[in-house]
Amino acid sequence: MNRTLRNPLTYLLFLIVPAAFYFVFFFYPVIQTFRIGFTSSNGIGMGKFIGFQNYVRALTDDPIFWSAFYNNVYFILSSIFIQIPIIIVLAVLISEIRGFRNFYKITVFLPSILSTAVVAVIWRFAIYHPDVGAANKFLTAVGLSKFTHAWLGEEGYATLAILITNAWQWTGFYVVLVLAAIFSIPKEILEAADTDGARGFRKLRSITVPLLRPVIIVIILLSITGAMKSMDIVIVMTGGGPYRSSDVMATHMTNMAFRNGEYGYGNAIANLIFVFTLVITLIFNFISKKYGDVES
Amino acid sequence: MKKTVFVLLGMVLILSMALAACGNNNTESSVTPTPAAESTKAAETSKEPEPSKEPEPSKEPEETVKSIKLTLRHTMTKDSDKKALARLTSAIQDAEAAQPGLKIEAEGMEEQVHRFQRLRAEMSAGNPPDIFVNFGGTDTKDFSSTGNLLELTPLLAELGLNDKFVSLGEFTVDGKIYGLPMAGYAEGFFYNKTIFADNGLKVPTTWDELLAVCEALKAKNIIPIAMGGKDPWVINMIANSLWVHSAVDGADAITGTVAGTHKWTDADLTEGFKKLDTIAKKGYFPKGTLALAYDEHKNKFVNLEAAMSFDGTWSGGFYSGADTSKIGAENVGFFALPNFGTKGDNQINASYTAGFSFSSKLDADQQVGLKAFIKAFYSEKYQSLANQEEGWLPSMTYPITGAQPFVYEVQVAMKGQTAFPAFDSIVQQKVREAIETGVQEILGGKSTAEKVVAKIQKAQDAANSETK
Repeated sequence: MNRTLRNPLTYLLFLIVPAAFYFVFFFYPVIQTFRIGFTSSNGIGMGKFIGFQNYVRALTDDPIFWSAFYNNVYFILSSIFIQIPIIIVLAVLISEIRGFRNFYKITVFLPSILSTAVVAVIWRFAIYHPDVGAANKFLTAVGLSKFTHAWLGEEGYATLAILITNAWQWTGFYVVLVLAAIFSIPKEILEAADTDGARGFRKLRSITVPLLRPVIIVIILLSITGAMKSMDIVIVMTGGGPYRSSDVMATHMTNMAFRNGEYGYGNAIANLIFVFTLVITLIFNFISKKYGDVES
Repeated sequence: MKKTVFVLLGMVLILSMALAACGNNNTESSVTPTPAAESTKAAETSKEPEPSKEPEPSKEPEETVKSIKLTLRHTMTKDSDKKALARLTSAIQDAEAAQPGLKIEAEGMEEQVHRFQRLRAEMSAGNPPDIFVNFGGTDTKDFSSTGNLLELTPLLAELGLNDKFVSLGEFTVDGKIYGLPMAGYAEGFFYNKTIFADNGLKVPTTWDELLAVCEALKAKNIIPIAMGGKDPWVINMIANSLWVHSAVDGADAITGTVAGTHKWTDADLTEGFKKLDTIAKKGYFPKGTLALAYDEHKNKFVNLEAAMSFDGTWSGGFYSGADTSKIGAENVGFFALPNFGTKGDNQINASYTAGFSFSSKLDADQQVGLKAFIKAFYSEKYQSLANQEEGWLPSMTYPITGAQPFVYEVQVAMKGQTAFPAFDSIVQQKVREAIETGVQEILGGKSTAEKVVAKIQKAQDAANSETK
């Protein structure tokens, strides 16, 4: 038996099934997506080979593609510059609380266990609905009715409303990650800081946050990949509207492929999402390596 | 030795998994069963034990019950589809009772997923369900080109249903029939007769009268026209009628945009978009309309917030239902969009576009089962029920009794009108997308009618050049 397990052929044999699954469910679809991206397929049949026309169209002749791309970028920027500072502050506050800590942990974590569709529907009706939503009701109650809006029906607010909902859903998840990291900071370091007279914000800035850097980098990476593939929340809340202004690249892709029947073009957009995500992640990796990353 | 046994065992395991995965439950499709085997299967599916217990069925092959399996995909998955689904289920049971051995396995799928994703993939792969919900016009044209749609012309003749359908035009491609409509529809203004009477308003017969009615309602803080602009196809119901009524050539102008004889930028077609802009700018749609979905559109009307709703007759049952509406069945009225003095006068968006199509891969036995289904579902019983329960306009020429009150209003409104199909069964999908975005831009005040039609024409030119 031991001799058998030392034979590489045995391992090769057992790798056949997972390799077949990997090929059928990952490798083959990726290759197909790449291939169809160069065709004029309408979903029925492969269509004609049209070279780079789909890519040229997306990059030079499709304003919705670029507005969708910018919406993805807003997702990333809001995560990094607004959501993450809030996450750190919340995590630090909860870590300092002695009583009911679990209650607070559960409360902030709760939204992330809900399905995105559920969260989107709740916010669409309970908060943003122009007639019965809490946002407009509150503004009217405090005499600010001139500031009421059809939040999800106006170009200037639809994407912002989605970003806030998305942040609400995922903040708790990241808070728990950061909390775990805070609790893993060696007590000796914190006591040494106390002895040296570091208190409050100074301790947070010079001791806690630098030690949280690895987990913050992980959160940023998750935010980038999450933002680039965000789709469900947009579909449920606005459907990409009004007039496709809240589309992200993934919703634009599904719209082109499945509603417009432009499968070739939809696949080309899918490939562009892959390339853009890769480039942004590489840029971030480069930056994080330069300024100290997980390994350092 | 041990190693060899181990490797062999591993190979057997892998091979057995692979073979199991390649297996097919539907053995009838690949193996010609003996009459005895068939009768056993029939007993399993039809729950009729007698034939399977027959010791020598081969002596009387003509009396054996063949097992016929058909798959059916419908899109009646919403709460509002309950009644339609109950009718379909009942029709399936009727068909199974009429054809011993027949088993129709029905599955429901969300309409958009079925129509735009799954069915297209299945058509591409050549394995559509045996019976499935399909739409006339562009969809049928696309799918017929794959060779996967069953041509129904001979089958209808055999069943004696040739002249029983009001119109099969949307399911006909190159003279061949590829689908059967479940019901018809007409689009126009549903209105609340009580609100109209309380405010001394009459059904408008001209564009100016329509605007005057809207103005009077707005002055009383009543929403003149319900509108769920989040779903652009809802805007396009009224928009479609506005273009046709504005166009010098009426509905021919829409087909002309695909043929290249007309352009969306033509002054008369642009006028239709301008009229939509006028309604939006004057505030005759609800505030924040682009945030309201179709269900909210309908709720505005049934909750007495809005006096009119431009909608299809498929919503008539919802608007009239005692459990869904505060209006009261007797107070739901219906009128067509007034005439504007063009060739589009007396033209109403009415068609027979949603129905069932069938796979061309059905074998002879399955076609027998299919005939039983068609006979059961496309019958006087279910045409009448659909009309009585939900106000669906019959797609067949059977006499209908006991219809809901609004149906008579629809009949009056349709008198002397010529029907035209919805634009999205005529124009290419990318043009529909441009129109949907354009009408939302008009309602949101983002763009003007002129700019919108320019964008639509650009999409039309691109789509036309691809078709050529």
